[in-house]
Amino acid sequence: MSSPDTEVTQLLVQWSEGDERALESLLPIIYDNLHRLARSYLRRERPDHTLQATALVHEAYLRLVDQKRICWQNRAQFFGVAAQLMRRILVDHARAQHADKRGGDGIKLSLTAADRIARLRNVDLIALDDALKALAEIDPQQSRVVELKFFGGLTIEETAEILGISHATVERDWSMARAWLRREIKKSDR
Amino acid sequence: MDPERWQQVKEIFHMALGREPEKRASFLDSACEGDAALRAEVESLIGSHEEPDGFLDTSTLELEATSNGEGSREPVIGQAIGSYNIMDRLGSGGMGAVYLAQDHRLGRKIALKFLPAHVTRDGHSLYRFQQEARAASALNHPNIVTIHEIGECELGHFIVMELIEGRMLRAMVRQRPSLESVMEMGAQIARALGVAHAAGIIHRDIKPENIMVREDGYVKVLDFGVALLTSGPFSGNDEPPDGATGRILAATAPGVILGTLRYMSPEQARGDHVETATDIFSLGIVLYELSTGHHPFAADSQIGTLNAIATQPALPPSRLNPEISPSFEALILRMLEKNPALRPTASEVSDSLLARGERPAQAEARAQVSAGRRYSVGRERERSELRQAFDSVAAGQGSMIAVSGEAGIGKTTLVEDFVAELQANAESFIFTRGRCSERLAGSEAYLPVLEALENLLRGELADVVARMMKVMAPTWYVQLAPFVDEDSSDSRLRADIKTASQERLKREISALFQELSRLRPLVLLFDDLHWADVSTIDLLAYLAGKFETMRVLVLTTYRSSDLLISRHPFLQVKRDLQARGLCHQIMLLFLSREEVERYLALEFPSNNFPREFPALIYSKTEGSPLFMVDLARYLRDRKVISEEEGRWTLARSVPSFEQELPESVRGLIQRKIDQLSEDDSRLLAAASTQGYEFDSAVVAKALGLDAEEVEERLHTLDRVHSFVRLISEREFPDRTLSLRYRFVHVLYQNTLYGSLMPTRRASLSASVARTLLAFYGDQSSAIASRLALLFEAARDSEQAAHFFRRAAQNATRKLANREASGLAQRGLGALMTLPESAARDRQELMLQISLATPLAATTGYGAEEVERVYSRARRLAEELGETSKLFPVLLGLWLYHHVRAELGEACEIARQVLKLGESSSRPEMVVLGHIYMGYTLTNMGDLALALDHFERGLALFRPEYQPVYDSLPMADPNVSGPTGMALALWLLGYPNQAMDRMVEACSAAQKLNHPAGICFADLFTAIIHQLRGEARQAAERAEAAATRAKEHGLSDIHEWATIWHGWASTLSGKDPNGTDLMVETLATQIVCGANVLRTHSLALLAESFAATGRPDQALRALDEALALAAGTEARAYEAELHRLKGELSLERGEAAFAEAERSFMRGLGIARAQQARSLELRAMTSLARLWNKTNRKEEAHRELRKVYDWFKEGFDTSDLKAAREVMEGG
Repeated sequence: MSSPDTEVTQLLVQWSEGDERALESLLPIIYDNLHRLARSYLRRERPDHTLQATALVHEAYLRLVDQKRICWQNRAQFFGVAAQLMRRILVDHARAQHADKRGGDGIKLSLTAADRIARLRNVDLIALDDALKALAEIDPQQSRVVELKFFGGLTIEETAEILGISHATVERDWSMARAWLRREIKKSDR
Repeated sequence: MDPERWQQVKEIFHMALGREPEKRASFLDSACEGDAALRAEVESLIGSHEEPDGFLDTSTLELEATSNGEGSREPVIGQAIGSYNIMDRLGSGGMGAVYLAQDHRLGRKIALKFLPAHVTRDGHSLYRFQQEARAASALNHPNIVTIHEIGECELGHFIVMELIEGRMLRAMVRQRPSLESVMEMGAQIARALGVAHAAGIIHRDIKPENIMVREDGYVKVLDFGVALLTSGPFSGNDEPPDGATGRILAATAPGVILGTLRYMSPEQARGDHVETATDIFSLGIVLYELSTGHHPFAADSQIGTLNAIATQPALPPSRLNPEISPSFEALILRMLEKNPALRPTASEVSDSLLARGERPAQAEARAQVSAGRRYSVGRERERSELRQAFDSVAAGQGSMIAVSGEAGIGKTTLVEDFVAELQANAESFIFTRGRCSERLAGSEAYLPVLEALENLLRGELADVVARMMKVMAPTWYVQLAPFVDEDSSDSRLRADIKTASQERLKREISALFQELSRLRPLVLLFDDLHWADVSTIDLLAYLAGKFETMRVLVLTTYRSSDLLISRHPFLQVKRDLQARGLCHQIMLLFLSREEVERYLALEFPSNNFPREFPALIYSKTEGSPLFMVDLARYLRDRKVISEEEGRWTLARSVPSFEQELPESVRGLIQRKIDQLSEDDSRLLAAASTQGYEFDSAVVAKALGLDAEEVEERLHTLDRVHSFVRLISEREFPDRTLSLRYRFVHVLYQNTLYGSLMPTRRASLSASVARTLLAFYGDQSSAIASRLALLFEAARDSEQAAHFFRRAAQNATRKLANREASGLAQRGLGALMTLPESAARDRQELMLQISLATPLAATTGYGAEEVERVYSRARRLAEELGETSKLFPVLLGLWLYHHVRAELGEACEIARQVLKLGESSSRPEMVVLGHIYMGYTLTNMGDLALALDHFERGLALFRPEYQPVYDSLPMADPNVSGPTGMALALWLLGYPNQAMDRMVEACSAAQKLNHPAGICFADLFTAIIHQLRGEARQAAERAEAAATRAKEHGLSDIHEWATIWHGWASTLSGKDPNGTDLMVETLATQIVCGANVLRTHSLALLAESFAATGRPDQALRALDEALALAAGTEARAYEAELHRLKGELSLERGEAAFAEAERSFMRGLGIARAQQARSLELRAMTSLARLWNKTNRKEEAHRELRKVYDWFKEGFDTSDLKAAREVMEGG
């Protein structure tokens, strides 16, 4: 696989300096990375091979984490990207599912995490994504906190580290953002 | 909402939350100051905040991990399912709910587990799960839970299994059981895994939740094969959509993997192919956790854990629990080895745990022995020597340890144990290794080095290494490029390495190692150095020279007798390094009798062997470790040694089997082979034909067997019979997937291969070669030398010759000229066996041409071997009418004759090039013909004609011919044309134009970035400076030429440059001993047959001797030069020789005036005949100076004036200045 590491590094630096467009360029590269990995797995697949499909996403993560050791300014940046990526993957997928249910030509899958998350926890990912976008308009920091914690699975400490703010602030942002989002999503349900 | 308003909401929201709920209303009253909208907003947010639905509390990753249970409907208590009655719910795990049920058919209680619908939806994985679960259950092992049935009902798929009344191991983690019971449980789990692994079953999901401990202490491993179900969506039937996003999401779905992520092995985490070693890693984590209470890779987040599993070493468990013995710790750490190949097997784990568990008193005795895989006895001193060497390397001083001893003495074992020990001690270091191959001995340049680099590029620090290599060792990086990622910067790298040289290769790698060793000490292991190629040995010697600046420990192993017999170059290098204190030798001897006894005591703990048994083993094996270990195993396999009630005993008396024992380790191996089934021995024979390391896919295809069947059989040969070891999985260029194996010892491969009948050996070699050829397709030249050797063994001389030629070309590209010549010569040898035919001759022609270039590069162009090769090639090309092939051959021959100053022959060949070029319309060759002709004529003193040829040649040159010249030695007209012309021009009396041409030649060479061209132009610039009397500039240019020539192994140019530099530094008084090096170099040139500049060189030597007051030696040099000029027609400098001789005579005073005058007159005569005005002026100046002294001033002035007045340029050169002085001063 080609190594776009210098490009990725550059984009990460830009992104950490607040250039959101850098992220827009970064995500396709990581996506691309994932696609290629997936293909290479499928090519190698044989009946007697266990395909650890889950490992795909993690492999992509790990590759990036590994590079972090050399050129990423800090570990936190990686989590930041991972969170964005998770959000994008899940939401995109939920949209595709949604389209499919309405007879669209989206990707057909038997069962997906997005489905189950949605069904089990009353989380409508599409609505959540929309609400998060609205929140970002009003309070970008709160929106990032949610993204990192919910989509990235980060702890309060990690989130604080990434955003360069205190624990207390993260906790406050989190509780308010969650309250706000829950309310907004309910509103839109009606 | 505007920001200010939002800020307000935020503040009030948080402040309200900080208050007790009942006080919030009054707080809001005052805080909102009557702003109803504000209050409503905050209140609605608080309301939303208080909702207890856990909204967003669990992150997406964790959601996936916990959301499995849904999808299957649940049975109710009392419900009948087939012959089972649900009695109670026992609990639920990641893989569904478990119920207690009564089997009323058999009247027993069983456990019934429902599989979640989503995991059974994929038919393929369900099928595989059923297969594996049944197979594991069929093993009927007391530590594996028994599966009674796998059934299906309207509620879904379910498993009926043995009911275990006990606790989950998870519960015990918290209770911190005693270390003894941890070891005891670990041994039981490892035994379960051992039998499963032997049957080819991998658990894939070992974790405390999958292990039950019964009240009576029996441990049961659950859920074999269940992990297979989790690969569902990906191994299903539907094609992957191109947008893999959906796929990836699906891939994340099963969740169980995420749930047990904490017990994943690094290879699972990476999604690599998983082998039995994955279970060992997971068990390692379980044991670590049980004995310390801590998870070895604990981190704040899931991804953190995953990252730690994949990259971070575990903290030695004794830091958390000091009671853990060093040996148990070493075992755990080895189980947690990132590299699956380095982990112990399940049976090794159970063996060592049992040994420890049962006899804790002996634990410490074992601690000295490396844990796990095998028992080592003795070698304590050697290991401590290695340890010391490592410590001093870590402290900054590199060193080499050469471990020597006979085959089977345990060299590799010693070194591997040592490395394992370092790893077990959590030392921080980088390790890589390369092995020399018997098959490829000496033919594959840098084989072990390239292997070591490749390992680095695939290892833990792959990214760092790749980055460093691109910068510091681009030439090597490009060599390895087929193995590494395609990269856009590669083309730049490739262009950059056009100027590569052997020196540069060495410099690059030492810079790389230096840099790497700055990160961590570097341990390099090179095995079997007695089969190393010359280039590798050179490189090791070079590295050793840099040890002061790098933290590198080079470990080498070799068989001393092989080294002596083959008079291998490493012998000398090792001695030199030892003398310089850079290398220490560890000589391994056979084990002592006591050590043999100790080994048996370790291998068979608590035995009651009779006293004569160790004595017998010792006398049979003479303490050869390999023989001893294999003999012990042989006896155990034959049940002569057996275990009864935990004690090892001899089943038969010593005398009764003594006679049956094999006499040698080879004999033993042969017996083991004889005991194999016919199929297995056929398989191993094919494997041994491929080599010490071989591929399952190659063996399968070569024998026409099913690939999977071969893999299975190799698996058994590995696990059960210990013939082979799995190394890795790999993919051939045609995408064929294969498992790479290695024989347990090279003697096994030797014996198997040696026992093949000649015809069988040939046919197997042919099939293996053809298979490899098919797998590599158009990339087959990458393994050319392997193919060549296989085809040679297959007696397919045609193919062998073809691949030897490709291999020779590969080696030439690696600048490994000696190996290249050797390969080409071997190819020629193969051709000898073929009947005469045009096709054969054509192949020979190509081989001879491939041989000539590297041969000339190592021996010099004037060597007779080179001429033999070219002459043969010429005859072949002429017979075959291969005109195009004739050109390089003729050019090579011209160089040979020209360099040897066989100018008549050289002239003749140049003429043929011209003729052939014209008749076959190859104008680019006509250009070269003219230039070559010009050179030869210049040296013969036919200067005007020479100049004419140069001019005609250069006039014909067109830029589009350029590519043709790139592949020919010393052939670029832009460099060689003006260079040759410069010499002719100077002689003809145009010192300035000569210099102009040289400037032109230099800039052309620079532009081409062609090292040989640059050297050549530098050398001739030095020569022109010398002729112009500019010693300082001559010295500079000669030095530049010498340095570069040395770097690129251009010995001819290096020698000439040394001579010119010697002259310049002697004359400028810088180096009174400059003549010594000149004399030495001239002597070397005689050996190489390089004569072309010899008369000129001798003249310089004479001048240098004269300038340092040694006229006798000067005279001898001149006499030699004159004799040479007369014998070789190399007359270009002859006039000057006479003049110098005259000057020498003058030193003897008036008595010799007449003699001097005669010499000057002769010089003058020759110079005039050649129209060599520069030399004429010199001779005339000398003569005039003499005449001035003998009262013939007028005549002197007149004659000198005549010569001087001809000159139109160069008035500031020393020759014209000297003439003016003589004319003016009188």
